[in-house]
Amino acid sequence: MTSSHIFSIVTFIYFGSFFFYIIYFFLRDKFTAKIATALAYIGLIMQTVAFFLRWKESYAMGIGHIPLSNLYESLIFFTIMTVLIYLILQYIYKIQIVGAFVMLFPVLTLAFCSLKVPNEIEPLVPALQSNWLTSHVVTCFLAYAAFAVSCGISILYFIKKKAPNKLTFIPSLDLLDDLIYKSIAIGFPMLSLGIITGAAWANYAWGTYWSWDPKETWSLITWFIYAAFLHARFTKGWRGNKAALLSIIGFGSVLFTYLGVNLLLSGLHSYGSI
Amino acid sequence: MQKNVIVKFFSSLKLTLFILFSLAATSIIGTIIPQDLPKSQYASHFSHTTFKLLDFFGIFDMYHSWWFLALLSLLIINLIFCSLKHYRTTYNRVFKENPVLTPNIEKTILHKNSFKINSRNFKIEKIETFIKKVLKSKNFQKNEQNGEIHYFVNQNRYSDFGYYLVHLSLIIIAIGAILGSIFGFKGYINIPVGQTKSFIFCKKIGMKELGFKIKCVDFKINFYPNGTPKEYRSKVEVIDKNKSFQADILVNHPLKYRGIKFYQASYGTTGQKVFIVVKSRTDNKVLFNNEVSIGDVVSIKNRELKFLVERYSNNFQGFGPAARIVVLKGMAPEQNFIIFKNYPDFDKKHRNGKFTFILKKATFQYYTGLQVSKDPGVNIVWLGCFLMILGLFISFFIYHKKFWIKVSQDKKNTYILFAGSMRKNRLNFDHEFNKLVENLKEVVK
Repeated sequence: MTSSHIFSIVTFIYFGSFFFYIIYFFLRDKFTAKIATALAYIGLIMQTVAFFLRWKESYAMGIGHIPLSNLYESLIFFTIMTVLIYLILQYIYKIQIVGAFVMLFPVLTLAFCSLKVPNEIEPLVPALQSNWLTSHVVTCFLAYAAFAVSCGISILYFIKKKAPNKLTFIPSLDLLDDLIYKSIAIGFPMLSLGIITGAAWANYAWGTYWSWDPKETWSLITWFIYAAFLHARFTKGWRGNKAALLSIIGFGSVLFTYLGVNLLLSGLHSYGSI
Repeated sequence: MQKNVIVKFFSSLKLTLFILFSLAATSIIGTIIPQDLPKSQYASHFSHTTFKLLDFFGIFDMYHSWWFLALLSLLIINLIFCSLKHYRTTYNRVFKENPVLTPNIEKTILHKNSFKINSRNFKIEKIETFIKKVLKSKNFQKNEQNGEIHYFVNQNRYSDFGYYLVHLSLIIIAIGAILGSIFGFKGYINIPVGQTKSFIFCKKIGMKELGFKIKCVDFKINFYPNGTPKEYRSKVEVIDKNKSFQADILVNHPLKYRGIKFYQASYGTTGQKVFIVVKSRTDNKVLFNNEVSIGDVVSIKNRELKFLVERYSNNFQGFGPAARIVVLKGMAPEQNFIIFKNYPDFDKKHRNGKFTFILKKATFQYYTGLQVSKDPGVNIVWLGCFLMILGLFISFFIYHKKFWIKVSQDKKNTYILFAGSMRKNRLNFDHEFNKLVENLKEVVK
């Protein structure tokens, strides 16, 4: 069995986990939450194994490198990190109730991967042959994953806000607000580290630590948005609603930094060669 | 009064939010409109008025435009003002201690729990054991007042300065960036294999002397079996007054000499020459047998033949190396055809004329494209980055906590009041505090 097969199977396992989290969300039956959590753990372990298997496969092909070099591999890594961060937060704060909102991201991402993204193992082009690759990608994706979790919780925040008295099974707005903050408190230092390792790498490879290329600029835009989020918490009238909205906008910016720049802006950039 | 208005404006958090949102929103423009192309390209793409307007706002190099730099400066000014404004409060929080839990202080604390135990079972040392073992604090204060004993523990107090470190780091990064842009430079050189250069080309200032020479000894590209590039390697020789040495420059492996760094950035071919043989069709006599540069006109006088090699391709439509020959009559092209290296008879068989052309081989030279830069501010930037990460981790993950334990006794009972405060992460502290209360009860019993 190859790593790609395992990744496809995990898509279904995560979907199962997502499904049981939804049942738990509506019925509050503790057993379903346990099944959902167990499936998430199983999926995470299988993915981690497949990650290392893919690493080994690349060596067997004679082009050995850590599987963090193209869109497929980075999306896979993104799902691993999201589930990992979520499970850590769930373990500490017992937030099974937001499980469905977070597990949705890995399910959609993996489905997209299996259907649309080429999964060949490719050799490393010269620009990627650097020790900075691993630390840069790992920190960035830890940040992306933490922001995905905060976005999921923010969505739940707005659902709860609609009918705070009816939806008693959702944790209090205060707790949700706090959880949004906590996941961003993990994401923000990681994003800063990701940008800095990227800058260090750029300086090492191209002689300039910052050149305002679209990817760099979008990562900075994301950084500005979350910096605003962190300062908004100390400003009257900016807690709660606006903070949750900022966290959703922030994740939109994350998605654009990660995918939009490559998929959309490259198209716009053909204008650059008139 | 007026001074107050200005201070209030620059130190307001609303201004911080405004600047951050403005920076985020305007930064998008430069990711959509390609930056720093020649002006003529923009002029031909936009209407005249649009072009003038965009040019006025420096949109074509927006990250160095006056208003963008002004926003960045405003951010720095704002964070300096904010830091100064809150300095007193933070200083007090860190250094001012209330080791005695007076009723007034007690009122302001959210987390507290009091209980009593039988005095016969109680030993005051147990409280100290609790502080050392459970709170894991070696330093505590003990005060006696009105027959009550007050313990006070102040943990991780310096973490309140964490965000100062982050703000400071941004100022340091800004200083590093400014130093780099004043005292540093960025440029490039293309060196054909075998040639030596002593200057580079900078975008802003034009030619710049290096102060030493650099020679490209060799340039090689290696490929993976599937055809993607594996390695670009320039072998160079640095020639200075007193010494010279050889080094390899690869992508991700720059060369540093006298504070100047050389990076493998691009490559290309130059000085392409093709080797052409021309024969007479009738007697097969070789009339010309030599190297020709692309575009140079060759004339064979006694036969009244003039031609040039217009273009050369390493692989023309899958048929291998090919050259396009133009035969001239006077200055005007008379015939125009392609010859193939792999099919030497092609021209003879498929074209009429007095002469037949054969393409023997083609030679060319690589040149290596090196990015050259000097940035004396870069280490200051790294220092700033390090402090930023340190500051972020301190302010997000290390919490300033204060604990008070008040012990009062009568003959029968010992009354213990346990109180704690943590400014950040209060919901978490609920849980932690309740656990500590359980622990304390266990220890003193």
